[in-house]
Amino acid sequence: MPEMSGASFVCRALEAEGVDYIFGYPGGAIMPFYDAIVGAKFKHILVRHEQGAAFAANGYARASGRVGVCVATSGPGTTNLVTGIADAFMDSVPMVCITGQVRSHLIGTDAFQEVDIFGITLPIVKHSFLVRNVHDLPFVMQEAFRIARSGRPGPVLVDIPRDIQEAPAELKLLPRKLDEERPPAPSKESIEKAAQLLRDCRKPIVYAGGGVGMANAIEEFRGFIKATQIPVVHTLKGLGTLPYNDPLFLGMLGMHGFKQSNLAVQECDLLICIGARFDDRATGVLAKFAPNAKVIHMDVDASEVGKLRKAEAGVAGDIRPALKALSFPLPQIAEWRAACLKSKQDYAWKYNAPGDGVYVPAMLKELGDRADDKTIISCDVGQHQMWVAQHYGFRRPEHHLTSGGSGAMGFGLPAAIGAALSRPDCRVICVSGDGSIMMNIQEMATLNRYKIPVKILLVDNQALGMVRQWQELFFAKKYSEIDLSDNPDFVKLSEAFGIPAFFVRERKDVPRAIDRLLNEPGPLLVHVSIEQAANVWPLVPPKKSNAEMEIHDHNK
Amino acid sequence: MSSTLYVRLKKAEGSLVRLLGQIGRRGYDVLGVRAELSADRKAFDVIVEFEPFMPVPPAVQEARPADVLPRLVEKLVEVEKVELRGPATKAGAPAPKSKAAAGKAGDMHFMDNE
Repeated sequence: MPEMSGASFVCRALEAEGVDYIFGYPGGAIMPFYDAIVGAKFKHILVRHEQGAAFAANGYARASGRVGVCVATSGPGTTNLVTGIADAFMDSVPMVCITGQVRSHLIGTDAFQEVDIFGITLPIVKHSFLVRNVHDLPFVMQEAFRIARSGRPGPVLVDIPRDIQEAPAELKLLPRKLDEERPPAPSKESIEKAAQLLRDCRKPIVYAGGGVGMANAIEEFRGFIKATQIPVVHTLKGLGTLPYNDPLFLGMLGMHGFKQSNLAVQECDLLICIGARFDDRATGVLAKFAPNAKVIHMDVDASEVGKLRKAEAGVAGDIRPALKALSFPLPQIAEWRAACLKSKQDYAWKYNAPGDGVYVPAMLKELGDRADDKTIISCDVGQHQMWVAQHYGFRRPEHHLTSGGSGAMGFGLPAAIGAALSRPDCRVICVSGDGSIMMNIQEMATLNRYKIPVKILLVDNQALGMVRQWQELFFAKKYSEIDLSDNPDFVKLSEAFGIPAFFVRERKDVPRAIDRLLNEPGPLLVHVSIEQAANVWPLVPPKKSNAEMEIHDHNK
Repeated sequence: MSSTLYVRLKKAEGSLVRLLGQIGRRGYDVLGVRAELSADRKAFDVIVEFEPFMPVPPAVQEARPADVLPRLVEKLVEVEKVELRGPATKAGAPAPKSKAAAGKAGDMHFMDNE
């Protein structure tokens, strides 16, 4: 067996895993790897900041279901990855993060660009490796990918000292351990217990999250809903699991959920939680959440079952066989279903807001109505993120890339870049805000360099809108550090990056702007100016139950 | 009231720190630790005495149930076995018997988050 360097082996391992793109930024401690990737079968995307690499790998993985890979050098290179790694951990995104480390004999000496990234990331990775011996690399690379994608996915860090990258050795790729990647089947007893609860219920609601899509259980889930005819509410990350236009889909639940969704959950007698985790943004005050309901909790991660809410039936493991086994008619729920559907009709959102300015919910609804089944929306964080969740109709969960758990501003643009490369069959639109876009604006240069056809819909209220809204409602209108009225001219800025752009202020110009978003080739930025006072409704105030949501606009 | 957790852990880079971090981060106060390297030097037998953080009144949040912890610890890649014993016993308690002895899913309590 011929010798190769550790870095060359890492490249061969990435090729063997079928990696087609990696996202990164070179530097001293990762130089042997960057030397080895010349001529590799995968393509390296040079971002302009390591956080962009982590979010791009994150978006790549979310859109495709494949493991995203990012690379950075030691010290500041690795610390710049941290927010993206945390985001992947919170939202269970499969990623492998390869970082250069100072030479082994320098570890612990405060050497130039030495940072203990292994220690820093311990709380935010599914697992991590610090490679101490070049002969460990075959096992480490195999395990990194296996751990990242198996069970509940997550990020895995592989920290490789420079001398390990340079060391020659006879190294052989290890075969993929497919049997260890399959989640265990749930117990028959737990499924039977769940079946009995379904047979006994009168007012059931399905509360489904991102775990359904990640478990590749969309078809089984839709089969379960078709058979049982139970009304469905989704978490932010679950949107699209049941298509938005399915009559049984009531809407998103939680802090910015729709009235019909939250009220149905509050009144139900059986809550079937599938691939969700009773996150505080979904539940409001947990003790007041679905107060009369028994719970069936289905999740691949056994530690989520019963973590926050007692489950009368905990179904831990592969949810697909469980959903199949539970797909039977429930004739006793017809009256409840009819009441839920009437509520959905009664509280349907009204898109006829007064005024001539752009009404973002209506713009996003029109965008969703006109986009095809192969359109991916990558969101940033803030008001626009909630408007997208509420009003853009999703057909598949992997078409909605959003930083749900960590709420990381700056996610949207680099995640869109990753998505566009992993799903060249899809159109990718990044919906961002004027606060969020500035957090990774440098990735416009990446868009231009590789001519990645990401469209950016920039919703600009010249403020940190969600913070402004909370200061208005809950801090007596004492506005503190939310003004962004000195934003750059985003059209000129975009053009400076080589990306065409145009400006929209009036409602009447929205249809034509959407035409261009949907039809123009190549990257494009649409700068939409909106009123600073626009708020996201409904809103469940802090320390309130989801039944106590507020609406203060024309939908009141 | 404190409880005792027995963990068999592969000896790997940072595995002990990872275990203790997981316990602390998930809302449990570590009161004592004893770790011994196995005879083959491939694993640690760890005994952790812990108790849930007690939120300061007037917070409505309750302390986390002790029996949630084993399943959270079991997720760590290096954990081979985990077992919860009720009230804490002093060091010298028996080593863990089986990873499957971790707390049973669906047997928990309400928590509050605001």
